[in-house]
Amino acid sequence: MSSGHGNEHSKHPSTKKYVIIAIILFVITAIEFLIILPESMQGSALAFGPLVLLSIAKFYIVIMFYMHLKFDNPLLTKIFYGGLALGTVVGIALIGLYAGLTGTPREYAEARAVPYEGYYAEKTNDSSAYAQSLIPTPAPMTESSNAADASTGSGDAAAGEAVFSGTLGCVGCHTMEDLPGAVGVLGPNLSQIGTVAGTRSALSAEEYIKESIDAPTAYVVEGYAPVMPELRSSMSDEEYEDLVAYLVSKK
Amino acid sequence: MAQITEAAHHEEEQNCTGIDNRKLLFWVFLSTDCLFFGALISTYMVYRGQSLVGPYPIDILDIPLTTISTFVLLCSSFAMVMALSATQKDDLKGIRIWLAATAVMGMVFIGFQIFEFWEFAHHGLLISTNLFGSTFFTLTGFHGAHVSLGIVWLWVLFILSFRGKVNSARVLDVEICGLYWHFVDIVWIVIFTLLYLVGGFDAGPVITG
Repeated sequence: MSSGHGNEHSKHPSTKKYVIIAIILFVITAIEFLIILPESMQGSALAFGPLVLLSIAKFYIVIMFYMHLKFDNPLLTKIFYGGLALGTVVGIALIGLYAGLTGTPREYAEARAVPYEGYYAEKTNDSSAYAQSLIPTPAPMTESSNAADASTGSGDAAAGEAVFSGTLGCVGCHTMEDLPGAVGVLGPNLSQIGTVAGTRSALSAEEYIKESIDAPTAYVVEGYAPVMPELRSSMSDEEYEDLVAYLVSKK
Repeated sequence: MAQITEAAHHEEEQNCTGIDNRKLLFWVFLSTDCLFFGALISTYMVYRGQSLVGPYPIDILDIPLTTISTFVLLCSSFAMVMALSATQKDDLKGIRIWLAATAVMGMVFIGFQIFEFWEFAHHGLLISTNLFGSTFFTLTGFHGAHVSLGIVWLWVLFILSFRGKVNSARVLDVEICGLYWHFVDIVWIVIFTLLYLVGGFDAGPVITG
């Protein structure tokens, strides 16, 4: 271990090499950007491997040449790799541990996360199906008058009560006075929703209730947060009609 | 001349490993800093896709803009090695130019980050908004704090160069500052890949990649 100071420095790369290394790092970053440029590659599992490999390459080039581990005492490399490996292993263990929780946290999020509307509202020219699904579609006039007359629609209100108190979890957030256990306060009290619904917007009671299930944040009652999840896709068409009939009957 | 050789003698306070004490200590610090950022990055990855309300990454991350700031940070790492190279050659003008260039590029990077944080706040993403906001701001904020400390360090060296305290006899001062700067750069390489290129298209609970 008698490598002197001057001797050590002579082993450092020359200016020309530094420039070449800088260009390589630039090119790798540009390639990374180009990989995710096509929309089909954005967030694709195909992109993950190349992106990780390219960034490992950049990481390695910087520590070896810019931080000159390649030319320095090997002990320094061991010290650094030690911390790096420990940090990586602990991180992977943490992620593995979390993923091992039978996926509960993810399912919880999937059932409850609400879309972020602000972004889609800003991008008015965004005509994706998703953005359109958030805009309440006014029902044709004839249908609405029919619906108003036959207020029960096609659903079965008794079956709808089972849907309401079932696994969708409606009762966790909404109070229904004649239904035991339905005492939630996060969302509005629905005890008279059949009457109230017709007064909230220009829509009829049934249309309003449907809108509230289809696009929960299209109309948010004052004093409540826009936190109701999209649950339409979690029920069958029959359950949906039953639920609407049940809610309309609550006068 | 006698002064310089004395200084050089002080530079080489070695231990049984044959490595200068300061340099050894600094590499141990960088090794532990890997654990620090490792914890923050894993926390981000664990909570990926579990925010219950927006904005989600795809709603607000500006990847082309961040690619530009990544280029700037890479450039600054090049300027840093040039500053070290100039120090070894006792090229005082080169030392000042490259140190200042490194610091200015670091400041541009921080400028991009301030702009990004500002934009996010205007889109409704604060550290308390959702899990994405909490983990994103904690991780990138601590990285920004590291860069800011590095900028202060670089300007201190820049000022010291006018007092004749940056030269080949004290090359280790610049070298250690450089190690710190490059470390901050490699941490960004990881953050940029995982948060922007891989996780930047996460929409709501649907995670991608």
